[in-house]
Amino acid sequence: MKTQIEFHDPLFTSSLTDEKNGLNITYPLADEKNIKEVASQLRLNSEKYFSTHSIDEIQKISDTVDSSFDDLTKPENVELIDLIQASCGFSRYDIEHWGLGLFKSIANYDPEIRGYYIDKAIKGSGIIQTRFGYLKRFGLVNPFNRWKEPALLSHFISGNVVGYTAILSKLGLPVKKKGTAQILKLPSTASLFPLIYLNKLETIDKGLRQTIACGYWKGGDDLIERQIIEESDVINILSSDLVIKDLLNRIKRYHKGITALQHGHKIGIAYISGEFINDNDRLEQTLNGLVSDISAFDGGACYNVKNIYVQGDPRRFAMMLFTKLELFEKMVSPVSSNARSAGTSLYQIYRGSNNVISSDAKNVFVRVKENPEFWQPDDLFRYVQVMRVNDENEVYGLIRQHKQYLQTAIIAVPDEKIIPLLILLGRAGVSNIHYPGSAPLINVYEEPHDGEFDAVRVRYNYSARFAATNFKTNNDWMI
Amino acid sequence: MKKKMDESRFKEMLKESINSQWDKFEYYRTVCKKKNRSIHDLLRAIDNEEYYQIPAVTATAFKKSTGLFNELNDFSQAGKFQVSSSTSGDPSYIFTNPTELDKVADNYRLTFGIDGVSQAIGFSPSVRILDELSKKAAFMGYQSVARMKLALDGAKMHYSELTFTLDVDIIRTLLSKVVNGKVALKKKHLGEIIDIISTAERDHQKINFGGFVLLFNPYLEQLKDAQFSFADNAFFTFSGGGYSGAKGSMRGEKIDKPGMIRKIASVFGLNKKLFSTNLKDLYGFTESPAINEGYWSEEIEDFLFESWHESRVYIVDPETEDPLKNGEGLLKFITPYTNGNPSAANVSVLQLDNATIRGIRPDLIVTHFSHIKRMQNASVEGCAYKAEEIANA
Repeated sequence: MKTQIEFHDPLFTSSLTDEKNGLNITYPLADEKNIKEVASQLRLNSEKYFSTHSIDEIQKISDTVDSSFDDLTKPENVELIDLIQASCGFSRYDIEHWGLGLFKSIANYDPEIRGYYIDKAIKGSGIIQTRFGYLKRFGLVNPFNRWKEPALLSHFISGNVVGYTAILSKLGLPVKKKGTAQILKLPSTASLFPLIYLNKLETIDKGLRQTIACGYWKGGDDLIERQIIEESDVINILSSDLVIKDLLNRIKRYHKGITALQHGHKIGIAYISGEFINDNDRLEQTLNGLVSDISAFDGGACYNVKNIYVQGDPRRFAMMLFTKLELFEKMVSPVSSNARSAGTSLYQIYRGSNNVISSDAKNVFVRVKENPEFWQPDDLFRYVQVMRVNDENEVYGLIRQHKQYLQTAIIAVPDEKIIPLLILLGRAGVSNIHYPGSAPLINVYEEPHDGEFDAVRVRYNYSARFAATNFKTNNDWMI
Repeated sequence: MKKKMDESRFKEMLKESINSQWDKFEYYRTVCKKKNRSIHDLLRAIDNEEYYQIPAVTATAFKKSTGLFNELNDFSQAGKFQVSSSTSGDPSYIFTNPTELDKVADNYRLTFGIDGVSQAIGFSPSVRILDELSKKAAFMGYQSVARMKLALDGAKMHYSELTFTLDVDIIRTLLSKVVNGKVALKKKHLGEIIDIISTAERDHQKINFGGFVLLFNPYLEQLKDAQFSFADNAFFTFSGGGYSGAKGSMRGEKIDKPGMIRKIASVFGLNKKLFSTNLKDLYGFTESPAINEGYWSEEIEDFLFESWHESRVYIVDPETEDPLKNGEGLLKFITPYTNGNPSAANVSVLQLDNATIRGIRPDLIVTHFSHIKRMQNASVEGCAYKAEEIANA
């Protein structure tokens, strides 16, 4: 007998049931016949709710929702993790640490300084010391642009990374003045977390839940998407470059001039300096961290490292990394076979090459390359390329032409190089510079997402980009 | 005429090629090692006619972007790179010795050539264009030759009257070279094509229409129903795929195969009975010398391909690479070198095209296949894999 799971939405009242990995899941479905009415009702709900609740009140509600995922030993959370794992196939470790773990840092962030660093970075031009790292603006702020609260913000989301898909609903919460109504596209059956999160919100504050409509529609369905575009003041897209291009074309036709945030495909990098290659203790800790950065969500998330630049022997580094990756995959973060698509992979292409170390199970793949490049792998998974570089300037030269793919960089460098690397890599287009082992841990109150502070950007076009580190010295992560 | 190769001769040639490939390429030895196969296992498999046991190199390993040239090619002998048309923007480079280059061209002669037909229209770029493209594709200090060029060489061997529809516009090229250095191309006008066809029809001369459907179809669309009446004197030999609307740098509309066949029959007065003899598609790929002929089948509404007579073909499971008995899987081709001396590790190749088994022997060798389509991997959609769409929506 299949487990029945039912999700409902207050505004998208149509539904459909789909079978996925032994679960019968009922989802809310967007219906082309009533999109306009849904949008109109959302705006009314939003107007009513945000005019009667203060920013502090709403922040507390949001913190309560986020805190509910703190204690992962609670029976309801254990059940939740089982359900997420059954639907998406990712490991419990990933769901607990990098999916639900994300909410802990958000809920626990000092309420007094939320928004403070972001505001400071937009207004100032130097390097700002944040609570956990450094933040820098790149480019000028356009003085003519003004703050404008949107009435409806719509999210077009693909992908199935737990946590990130739900965090987007926070963008509609008030930042300075008031909140906005939101429509969230549910990506698929393997991505039910946004509905779990919103269900939790509903149990805490029904009114706030009613400012958000979340449901499924087939990506690209113009009968639905045209109406959503026409009704929205801001569109937030997290998807493939192809989908972004298509949506931008349609936005131009159906609602020219509205704000569209674009979060396309990203490829993570790492730079390991000689000091961390030649010292065994530092190397060990760096490798241990990188293993998580490569393996989280089976290498399928935007922040996963794919290109590793080392100031030293790439083969030795690759061999050591491979051993740890393989062990980690077996012991800590195995992936259910249904999470992986059948078919060929880079493993099949390179399986005979003496420059590639790969597991027989085909899950781990480390390629060594003497001549460095910016590698854009066709497949995701735990596939990385290790390359020798002379220094960080060479890395800069290799990545700066690929700005659109840059987001996360893992660095293991001496303390005195952390700020210079923030400047150098930030100039190339990297936005999140993290210590090894922390690629998935974005701190939304002091780090940009793909160079943007989305919650601000949907209301105010500052026209600049930002980059941040999530550590100040190596003592912040090294034992 | 294709000469059927005796099984013992095939085994002999394959043993020589596999032995040589094993000795030359560490890459191949590693692939075999990962499949727990020694050279003795491979030779025993050949003796037992269980060729599927011979591990394959994935065709995409020869793509330029992989950087595996030194591991997959033997530059100790004379040769040139064969280069694919690069529909994906990432061409394959296979180092090929002169004997094998001649063999590939001859395979095209055999498959493009129709007995008793000496006239053809090639809906393709001219030899001049492909010579230029080949020159430009030189790589690692070695000359290259476009696989398409070998196809034209083969066609030229057979047809005494061969007209190409796409050529260099010499005057405009000379002018534009001064301005922007670009080559100007010219397509034959529809009127010129109609003149050639009408003359052949009037003289009751047999004629073959060959080449790329992407270049043929725009002309076909402009021809009228019942414009010609060739009975059994018209032949069609397409090659290079492109039904999806893309081939190399060429782009066009997606082609509906049954629709195109109906239109051909209507325009040229071709009786349905002739579909399985006069309407042919060729399936080959640069990583293998095999060229498989497929005749149109009304029953399956597709070309029914006969496996190349000098290859042993299997359709295999994409994950395990085990041979399948029925259904759909990836194509695996095992083809010995003519001189027994491989210049690339491509004696056994796994091509990432899906095909459906239509005829199979008890020893799992596929004799006929159809419905070839490019295999798709999971796509990357922003953050994380593109999650499966909800099925019932």
